[in-house]
Amino acid sequence: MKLTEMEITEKKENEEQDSFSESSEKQSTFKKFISNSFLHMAIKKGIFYFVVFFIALTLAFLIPRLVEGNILEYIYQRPQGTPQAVWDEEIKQLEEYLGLNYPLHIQYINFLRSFFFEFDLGYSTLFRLEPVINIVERTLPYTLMLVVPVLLITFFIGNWIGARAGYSGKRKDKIAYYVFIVLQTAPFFWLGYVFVDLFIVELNWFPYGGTVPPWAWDWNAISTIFDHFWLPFVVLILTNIGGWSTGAYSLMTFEKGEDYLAYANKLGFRDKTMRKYAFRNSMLPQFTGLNLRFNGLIGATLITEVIFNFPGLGATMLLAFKNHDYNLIIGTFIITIIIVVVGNYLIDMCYAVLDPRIRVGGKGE
Amino acid sequence: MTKEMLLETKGPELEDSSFKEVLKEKYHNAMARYKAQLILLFVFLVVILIIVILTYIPPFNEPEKVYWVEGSRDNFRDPTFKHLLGTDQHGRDYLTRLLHAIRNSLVFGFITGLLCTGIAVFLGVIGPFKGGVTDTTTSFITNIALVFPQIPFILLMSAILQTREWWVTMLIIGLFTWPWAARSIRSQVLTLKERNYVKVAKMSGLKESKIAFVEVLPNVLPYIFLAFIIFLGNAIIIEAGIAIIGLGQQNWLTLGLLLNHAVSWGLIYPRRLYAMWLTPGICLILIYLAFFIIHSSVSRTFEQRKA
Repeated sequence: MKLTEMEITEKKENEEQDSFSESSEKQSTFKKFISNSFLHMAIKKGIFYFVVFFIALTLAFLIPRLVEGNILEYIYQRPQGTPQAVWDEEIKQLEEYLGLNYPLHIQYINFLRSFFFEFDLGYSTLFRLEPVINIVERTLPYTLMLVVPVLLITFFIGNWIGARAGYSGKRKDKIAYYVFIVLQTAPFFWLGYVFVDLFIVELNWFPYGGTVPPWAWDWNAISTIFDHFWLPFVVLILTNIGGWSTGAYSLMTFEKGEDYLAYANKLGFRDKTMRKYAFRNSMLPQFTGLNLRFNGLIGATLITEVIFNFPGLGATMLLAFKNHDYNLIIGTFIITIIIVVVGNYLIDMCYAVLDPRIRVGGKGE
Repeated sequence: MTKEMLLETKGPELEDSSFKEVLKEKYHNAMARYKAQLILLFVFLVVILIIVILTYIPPFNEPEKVYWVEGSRDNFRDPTFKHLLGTDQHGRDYLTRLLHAIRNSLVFGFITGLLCTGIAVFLGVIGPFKGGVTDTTTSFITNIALVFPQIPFILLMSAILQTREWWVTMLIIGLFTWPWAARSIRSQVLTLKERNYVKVAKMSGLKESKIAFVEVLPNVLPYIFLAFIIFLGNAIIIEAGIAIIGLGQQNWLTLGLLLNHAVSWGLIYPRRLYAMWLTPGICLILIYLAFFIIHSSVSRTFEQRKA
């Protein structure tokens, strides 16, 4: 397993190097821009994340088939008055039609072929046999518009608050830090219901319900979407800032003891300048936390969507689960994996741009 | 020969007389240094103990007991003197149910935390010591699990598995939340492995597994303990999270199940019985906050000791 992987990476690397040496004569600026090690790391990480995706896909294929009982009996209930024998015959025909009577490995090959070459996730029984891929396409923007801004905003604000509290140590700066620590321990789903009760039921400031229009470049549609959007957005932000600030706080307290800051202090640097230096130097490890936080945030978003009835992937998944729409469950799950994998890949690449050391480390020298 | 004999006779005596003093000194040092943390820990344990004892004595020992008023269930009642937190959808006393739920949630978190810690320790310790293929496979598994979308997977599993048994939820949470601890324990073990005493132990012919679990593991125990506390708190929160949207286990009365009932029986809306859905959340916050404080104070203690 390991050998073959290494061979593949080496081969790809060699190919890349060959093509690179050919093109490098023409484009020397390109060579300067992206060093060889960066490309190497990009390919290596790409293969790794593809393996992760493949394993998750395989599990999504296997788990429902290993569960006891027939999947079709899970989807379709026997109508009342139908004799058992007739119903069994019906199920058998359906199985043959869907290809479920083949042995497992042939089913697996079919599954992979239909996924990778036709990008076919089957048809939803809940939405009148609409292709699952269309439904997912419609719901995906809602999840992304929650996850991406929340991740970026909490990253910057949380680090800023934590670093400020850690650097100055004044009570004024520490208050915000402690407030967000307590908020971080509050379970986000419960806080969601508190917000629903306070802002929707009591004050009636926001609408509630799943009647969110599809995304369109139209003022009415956008304003309606954002009416539904603010509450989950705020809940996710409030509960995620604390995690960043605790990390930033401890990093900053370590950084404060460094010699260069004492030296700068003796030289008479301004406090503002020193804080900037300390902040830049101490925050690098926080980028490695982005991966983990991103994974956690995806899960939190899925549950928050359900609570606020915001029609993203999570709410769709739960709706599908309640209506026994099997294809839609698997479809939304696969799309969620794709988001996670692509997001992690992008975060790793950003880290490689920021910190050149790990690119060299990727070469195994 | 004589010297050795002298040493042998002297050794135990010295240990015996100084052992108590050392213990005393250590105790005083600890009390002087970590007074606040110890008091906090003590208060936390006492509160937990009181809750556990309360669940076994008469007014609070029957969570399923239904109260009747004039032939009908005394349900959806606001807090009164008889029922301090009101009664729920079937006319059961809510305070009793809350106490039982806190106890069960803690037990749930404890078992799940043990499961997670066991997996993390096994994968984190066995890799560096076996080396070769085992090391690469364990670190590969850990790396993959680290970027694996855990909560979506937990949702998928709970949605597809038809059973709503407690052990299913426990297993699902336990099997998908361990990776970061495995990685940190692995890195700790890797540094410890290069110490001289491990080399001496190897030369003296001890078994690899014995060195790993008897010589090296006790040095990593603080990290394992910290990881266990985090797992404990997280397991309680995740269980409540998947229970509140209706995918959790149904046969243990946990805080998550109480919240799930609050949602599905309309205690939040339209009935708006605040005493019945705010309290489980506040309990969750307090439990998680307690574990968070324990974790941060313990980790600070270990850092001080290292320095």
